[in-house]
Amino acid sequence: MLRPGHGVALLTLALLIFGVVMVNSAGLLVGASVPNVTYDSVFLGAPMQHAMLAVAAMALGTMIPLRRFEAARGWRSPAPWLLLGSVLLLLLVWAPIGITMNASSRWLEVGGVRFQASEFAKWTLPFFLAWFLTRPAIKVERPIRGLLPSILVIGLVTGLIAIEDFGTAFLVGCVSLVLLLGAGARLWHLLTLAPLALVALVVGIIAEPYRVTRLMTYLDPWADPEGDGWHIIESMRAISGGGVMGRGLGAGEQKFDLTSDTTDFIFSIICEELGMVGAALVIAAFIGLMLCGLAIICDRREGGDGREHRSEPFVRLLGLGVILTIGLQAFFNILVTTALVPTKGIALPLISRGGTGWILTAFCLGLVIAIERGRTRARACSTEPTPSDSLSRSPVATTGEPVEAMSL
Amino acid sequence: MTFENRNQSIINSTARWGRLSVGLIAIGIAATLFKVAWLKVDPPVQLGDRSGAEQRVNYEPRFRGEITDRNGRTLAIDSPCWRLALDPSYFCSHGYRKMVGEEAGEIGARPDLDLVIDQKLTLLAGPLGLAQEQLRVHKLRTITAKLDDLIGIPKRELTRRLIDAPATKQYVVLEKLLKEWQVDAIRSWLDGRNIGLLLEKRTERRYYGPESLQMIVGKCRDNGVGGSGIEQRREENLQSVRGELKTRRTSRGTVISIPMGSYERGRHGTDFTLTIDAQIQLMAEEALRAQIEVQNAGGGRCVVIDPSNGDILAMVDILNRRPDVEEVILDDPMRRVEPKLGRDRNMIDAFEPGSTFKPFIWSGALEAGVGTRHSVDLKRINVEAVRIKGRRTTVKDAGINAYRGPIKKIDTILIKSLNTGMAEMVRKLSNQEMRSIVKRFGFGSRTNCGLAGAAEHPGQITSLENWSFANTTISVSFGHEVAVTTLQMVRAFSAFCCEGMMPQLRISGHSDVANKGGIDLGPHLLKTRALNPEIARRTKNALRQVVLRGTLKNYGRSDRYSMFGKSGTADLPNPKGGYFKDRYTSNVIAGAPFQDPRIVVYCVIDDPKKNHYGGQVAGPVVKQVVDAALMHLGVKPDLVVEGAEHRASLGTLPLHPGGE
Repeated sequence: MLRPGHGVALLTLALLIFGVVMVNSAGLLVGASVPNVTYDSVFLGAPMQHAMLAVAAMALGTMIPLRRFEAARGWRSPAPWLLLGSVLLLLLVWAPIGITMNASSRWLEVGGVRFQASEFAKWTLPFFLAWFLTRPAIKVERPIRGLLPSILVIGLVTGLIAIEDFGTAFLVGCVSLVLLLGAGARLWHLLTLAPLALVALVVGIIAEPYRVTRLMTYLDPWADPEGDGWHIIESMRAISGGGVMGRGLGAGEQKFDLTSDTTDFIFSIICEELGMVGAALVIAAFIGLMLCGLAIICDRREGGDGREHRSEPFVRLLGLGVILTIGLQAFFNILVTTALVPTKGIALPLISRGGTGWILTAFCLGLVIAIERGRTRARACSTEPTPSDSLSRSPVATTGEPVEAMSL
Repeated sequence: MTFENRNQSIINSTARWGRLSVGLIAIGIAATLFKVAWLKVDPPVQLGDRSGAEQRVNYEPRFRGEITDRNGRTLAIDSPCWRLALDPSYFCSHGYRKMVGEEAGEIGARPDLDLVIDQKLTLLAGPLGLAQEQLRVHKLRTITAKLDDLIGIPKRELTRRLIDAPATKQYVVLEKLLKEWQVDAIRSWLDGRNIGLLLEKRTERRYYGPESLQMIVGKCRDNGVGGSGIEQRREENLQSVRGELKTRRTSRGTVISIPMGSYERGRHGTDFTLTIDAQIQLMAEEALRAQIEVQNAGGGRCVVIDPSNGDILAMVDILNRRPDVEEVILDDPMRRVEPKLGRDRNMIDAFEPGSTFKPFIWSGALEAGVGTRHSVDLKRINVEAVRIKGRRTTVKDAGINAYRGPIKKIDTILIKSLNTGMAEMVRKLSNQEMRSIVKRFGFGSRTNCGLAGAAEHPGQITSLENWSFANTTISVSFGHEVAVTTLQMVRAFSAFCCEGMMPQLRISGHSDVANKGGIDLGPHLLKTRALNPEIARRTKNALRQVVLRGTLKNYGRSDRYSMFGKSGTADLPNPKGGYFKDRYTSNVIAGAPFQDPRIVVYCVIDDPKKNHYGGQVAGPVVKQVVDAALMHLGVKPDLVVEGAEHRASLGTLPLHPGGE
């Protein structure tokens, strides 16, 4: 029987393959002495290699014994270390290994691999929060003992991200907020902090003139159609072309004018080349992915082991963090490309070109699958006649023996 | 709360907030599909139905046909040139930033920080509008100052033009024609940057040759279409078809594809040759201009043709507006605006020729039997003023020293230009006969020389119904009551040069594309008989005597070439009616050399103030032109003037029978 985990895996695979195709299509150049899109580039090129790595990462993610992390206490848990590492990476963008591109210092290059530091923080913060908020000592419903430390951590990380990447910071902030609520934080406690958040938002916008410009451009893109309004106008132009069925794969014409066509504005190219149908399918895939993830999070069936309930809050919060991050990111990206919000550099998950993004996203989706896999395995174990001590020798709870092969 | 209960609470809360948040995101993300649909179905007006690539056309300049004179001298030619234009809209929005930013960067300074701040401020003060306009003016002043420094275009006028242009205007021509060094300077300054300054490859029509040729060659408009003169008349031949390459491009100009068959090769215009000889034109112009000045005349015309084939070798028309004289000669305001747009009076304006018309009537009368079938009473001639019944004025011989000698031969009437003699000669002719003589020489019909078309004046001859002996026949016999053009006169005079045959005049010939792309300048056979050869020869001999013994002997007689011709002095018509008593049209027509006429020269000088006798006023011009033109054409002088050496050099060149 097809389970939600299968749905997550299949949809992730579908989106990755679609991403490879669309990145190649959008990256098509004309007039080059050597064609840049060939069979080789499609099947053996960097996007395909990244997709393969992403599939491997997802497979790896499914094998992570998540319930162990809850059992780990204090500094023995990887969660604080991962967050600390992310914070360090965020600080390293200003170190010599940091790379400035498009007047923004977001990138790091290590061993020839270039990635955005915020990309790690985007995933490690929900992981940390899921772990932190389910600690017995943390009472998130209490402002001082639980909420304040969480807010401080969130503020620190989003603040560091926001210096160079306001969009990702906003995304991470939104996801963290839902995780706090999911962990039991009072809504009115958070609402009292809303003015502070609003002030931070306004200060963050005013601090950088280009953000003001983007806001003005959003309000009237036609004021400077050749300059600041260029991206959004070209994006709208791409979307408006192609009709219902699109111009055809690779036949898009606006991509030659639209910069970031393989990354942030790939959805516009999808709309142009594959039309309304293509856009609807992509949106349906993301909704499907979120619903499958939600089904895993909200699964109330009892596991075979009473002790499994102890790790459930952590994995559920983690799963929620992952699907919210992906869903919100896709939502923001589509809002930007359709000119419904000011332009922000947010990629379309699993489709926009970017090896690090694909691999980390697929890995995190693998973690979501791992949640379901863990439960299934536990149920399977509970239905089998086991020796009386088998309960204490549960592979997840105690030994962490290798789990069965991933069943995708 | 126990640990288990807390966990259960978190699980419930997670599920609740998970469903809510995922649900909201799912709804939101699905709702964006409506925006996608809206953009596809009803895109914003500003997008202008433009999505994807656009078809653009690149034009390949092609040259309009070259116009040359009969010897291949260039009179009008297209040459490649560069035009400098500015897209003020793009420059103000982007170009200025690039220009100032990069130039400030070159000297290590920060880019125009004040301006950046200004831009922010004006953005906030947008509704005021004034600040933005001031900023725009500042930017435009910067580029004009730079161009002034760079290529020396005066910045004041340029700035005014740019500021006056509407803010939305995307194309303002800064300089129509750039010199090579200016193009190089701009290119090296721009260094590949796009700041909205456009260097466009164009073709420019350049004109050469004497000033008087401008009216004949005409003008080509800015859009490459002939607007006047030959440029207009021969548009079909001269017109070039520019090449086109249609491409599909992005709005930033990236070529995406070149559809099959989208290249259309252009075609250069066909080169074109005029019958005009630029050198003779120049000589005629100089001689005429000098004489107009000497005589303080209101203008003048001079036409030179080759009587053997009707080729117009020169055609000059000069108007001279005199501040102290009340002009009665029809003005040509367009000529003052643009000489190329002038009205060539040689074809357009008709006038009364006076005595130069006598040879045609004289010869026509002879052919009609006057002197043979109809006797002429020579005793009645040259005695006193002749009264004609029904005519208000008497007919008398003109001139302060009118001939009073014996008249033994009818030729004397022409040689001495006797009005009374002409009146006596035509007395026996019927109105119809008289009119047919005039018509036979082509008066009253256009020459169709290929320049003016329907605008050419056909001349004016009184209709047979209104023709009367007393007024018309008598007046026409000495060149009044008839209006002619200079071209009609030279065409008719050619009959005396060519054994009675009149050629078809032409300023350009039939197309000869197959051979040389121009026209066939060889002799053509379209001729009309005006006289029988014998009469023509007799008239020519009489006209030779005019030069030797008559009115041209003092001023219109060449020392080198044997000329034959006739002078005329017509009263100038008064626009208020009648004729001026003291204002004249002086003219001389002549052919040379006598034995084998190579040219016919006709000069008319309007309203001279110093002298007024035709021979005295126009004779020197004709003489000069005959001498210069025949020398230029390589015709050996047929008169002995420079001693034995020169006589020997003439070889077997025969002198005419009645020669000196």
